[in-house]
Amino acid sequence: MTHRVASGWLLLPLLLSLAIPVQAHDPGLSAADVSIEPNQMRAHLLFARADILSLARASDLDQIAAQALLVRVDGREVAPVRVSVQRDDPADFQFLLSYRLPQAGQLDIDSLLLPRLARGHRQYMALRDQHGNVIAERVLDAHTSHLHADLIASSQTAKRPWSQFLRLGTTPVLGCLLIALAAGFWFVRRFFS
Amino acid sequence: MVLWLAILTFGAAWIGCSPSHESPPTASATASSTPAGRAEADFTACNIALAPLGDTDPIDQQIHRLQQQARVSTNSIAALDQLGWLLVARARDSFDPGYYKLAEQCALCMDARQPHAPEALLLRGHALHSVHRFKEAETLARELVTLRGSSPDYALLGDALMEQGNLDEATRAYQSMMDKKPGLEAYTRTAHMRWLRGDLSGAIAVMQMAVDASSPRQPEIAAWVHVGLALYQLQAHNIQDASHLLETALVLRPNYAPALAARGRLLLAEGNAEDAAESLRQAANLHPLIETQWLLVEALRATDQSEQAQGVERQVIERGPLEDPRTLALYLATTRQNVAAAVRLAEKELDTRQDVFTWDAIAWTHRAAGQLEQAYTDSQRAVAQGTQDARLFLHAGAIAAESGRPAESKRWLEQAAATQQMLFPSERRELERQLDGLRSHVALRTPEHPGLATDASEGRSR
Repeated sequence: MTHRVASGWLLLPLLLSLAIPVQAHDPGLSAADVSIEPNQMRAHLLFARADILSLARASDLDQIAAQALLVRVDGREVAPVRVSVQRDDPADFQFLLSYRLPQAGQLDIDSLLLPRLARGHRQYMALRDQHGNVIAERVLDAHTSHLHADLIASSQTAKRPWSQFLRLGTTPVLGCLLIALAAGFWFVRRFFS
Repeated sequence: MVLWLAILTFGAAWIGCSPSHESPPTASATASSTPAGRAEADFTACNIALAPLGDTDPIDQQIHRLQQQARVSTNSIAALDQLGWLLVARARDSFDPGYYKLAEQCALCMDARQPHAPEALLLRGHALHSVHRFKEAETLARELVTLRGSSPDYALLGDALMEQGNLDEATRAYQSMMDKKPGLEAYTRTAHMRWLRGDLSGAIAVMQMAVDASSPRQPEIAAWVHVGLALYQLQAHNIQDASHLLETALVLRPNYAPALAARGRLLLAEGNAEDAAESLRQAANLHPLIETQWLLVEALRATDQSEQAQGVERQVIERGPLEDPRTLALYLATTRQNVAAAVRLAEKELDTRQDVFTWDAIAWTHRAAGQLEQAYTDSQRAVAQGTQDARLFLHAGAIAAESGRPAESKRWLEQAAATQQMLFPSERRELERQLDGLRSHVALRTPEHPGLATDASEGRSR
């Protein structure tokens, strides 16, 4: 059975590449990195230049950037307090948006440009806590352009200093220390008994 | 003391075994050379490939399961490979090209974990080819052929070359593919190549072999080959056979958009605009290809639904530049709207592919812009491979006529008329107009009107 499945997969590349002539187009792929920090949220969006220029002229980019996300905190819309566009790279545009973030429970983010981009465009969105841990991620498209996060639940998960500490590369050191301690106790106990 | 020992040992074991939680995979992707390259590379390809999609189709559960496997499996390359091809299957099934982008990310993730794995090269090459990045696909295919040289590698190379108009080398690649593994996938390519070379009966014979080799266990693929054969049969005036093949395709795969679009085309050719509009409307809803929408506009106008036609036309003009610039260029040139944009779109397409259909689009837009000599040069390239296509013939005939080459025009227009069932209604009207022009020109060349002195210029051009 396993062998049959494996052979089936080997055939797939051939069978699935029958599309002659090719009728798809390059729909593009973008990324949104959203960081939750104390009292604020920063969003960093990265689009291929050609994708954005299909929507607007270069002179209208600030307006496009300001409209890129719809952010709601506990159901209430929050507008960006700062919007900037980086045009340094010849291939990309980067949108940087900052939001004031009150003590939040439920965070909802809608990516508003997706329905206006080419059919099939995808956006990878990741939401990170202040330590850089991913607390939610999803590939969005025009139909599913929404990311939800329960910030209370994720902050409770994050408030585990030991586990955070252990994850920051100290795990092997501590593990070794504990093993050494255990071995020491065992040796002392055996020696003195 | 024993208790302490137990606690310490357990603690050490717990720390040692503690999973890495949600930290994203650390493999970094190779940056793509496309404009979207940085967007794709800044977040690692693995993050994107393995992130939840949020879709609800049953196939999405399979995708989710493979994503989980790829996260934890010791043989993550195999899981990613399966995931990538499942995403390709999803793209074909849903007509959503976004899945090709995700398949490409799978391939980049595989490449990051195991550089130059042939499986990753093939998957990425196929994804790139599917989103019209033919040059990049060709580069990967050449690497694959050198590295491994299996049947799918030659298929990818042939596909990339064919789209770029390099038919001789594409034929050799397909021949290598056929030598290594004859079968449905090789038959479809051989049939298309024969058709491109002007051998319609040869194409029908080989596509029939593909139909015979297809299986209802793979309904989408079986439906696709039936549609391909139906269009060849329509061109060969075998209307009954074409109709039967399309019905079979729709049984194999109900609501299959390519079959519905082809049925609409067939019905329009038969003059049944009412049913054609319905079939095309369904096809365009399922898969809004610019070409299908163009046909729908014509069917709606033929049935006096001009308001709806305008709505669809608006979509064609809005979405065309992104999704199918070549077809939009043809549409604009045919309807004589925004000709400057049509020329620009067609010329830009040449950066992507240089096949006969791109040369035809360039020729037709130059003709609309009144650049007749340039249009004539371009149209010569469009017909150079001998492709028997009514649209190519119509355009070549119209351009030859308008650039003062009536004898040549007559030859092309007669060939277009012989297969005019393949033309859209507006193109058939254009054909009639051109033929009328030709007839009146012949009438003018009576002894009383000793001609428009075109023979000498035609001699030069030939």
